[in-house]
Amino acid sequence: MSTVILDTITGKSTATTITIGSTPVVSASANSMTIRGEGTAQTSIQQGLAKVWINMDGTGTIATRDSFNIASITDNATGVHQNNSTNALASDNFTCVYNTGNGSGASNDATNPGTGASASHPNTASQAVFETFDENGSNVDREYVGGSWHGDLA
Amino acid sequence: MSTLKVDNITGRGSTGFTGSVKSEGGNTTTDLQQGLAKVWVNFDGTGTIAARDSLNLSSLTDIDTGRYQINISSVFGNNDYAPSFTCGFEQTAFGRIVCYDGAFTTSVILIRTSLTTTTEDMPVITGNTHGDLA
Repeated sequence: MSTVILDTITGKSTATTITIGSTPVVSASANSMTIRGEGTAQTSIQQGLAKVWINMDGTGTIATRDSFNIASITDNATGVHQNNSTNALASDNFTCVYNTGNGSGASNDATNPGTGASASHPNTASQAVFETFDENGSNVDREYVGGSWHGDLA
Repeated sequence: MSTLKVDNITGRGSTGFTGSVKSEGGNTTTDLQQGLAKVWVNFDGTGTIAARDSLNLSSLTDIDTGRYQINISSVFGNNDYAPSFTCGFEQTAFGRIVCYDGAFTTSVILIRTSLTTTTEDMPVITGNTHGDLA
């Protein structure tokens, strides 16, 4: 058995393929790296990665517990929060999914994302605005708010 | 062209490989580990609940009508990860919702599915979770 220990692997050209046996494991072209999936198809590493995720407390002075690629969070109103990303996406056409809940799990909350077409809650390439509701449809702040974005980074 | 033939490639130190990849637009890089989903599951929440497919799932627990416990195999490093879930129902006249059903632990996610104030079992519940593995 042989082992190579190193810090960086760099292809000699912009399109480098790493193969094991005759199977391409990783192949790369400009800004796109693919990896062989569970079957035989190749899948994009970049496209499969979440570009933002966050776990935050939406009550009182809102606060981030942990996150990735979050620059800041904004408390726009009761039950209306804004997440601002550090590295922007290429457009406002990314997907974002959020869920909320309280510590006791005693409510049936809904969470609606904003859209680029919404005048009041626009998503942009670097922000997502979403509303949290209680089971009666009223905006409410919740202790546990989590979500993630997928899409193309700029 | 150069070819390197080995059995293992190992990062230096005890942390193994960490890495980033170039963004789709080419203007920045994004972290591989942070971007990877650490758990995902598609499951039937009706009757005897069952996962259709999953990643890093230990088991599912049917706590009550519309209330589920997702048990994680390789646990998170803390409770501050970010689950994202949604659900579906054959009769789609009204939207169904998913919310967190209490605080997380490093190995347990609690969710609740409902139509407004009424919890309901859902035939299609899907979600993924991002955060820091232990």
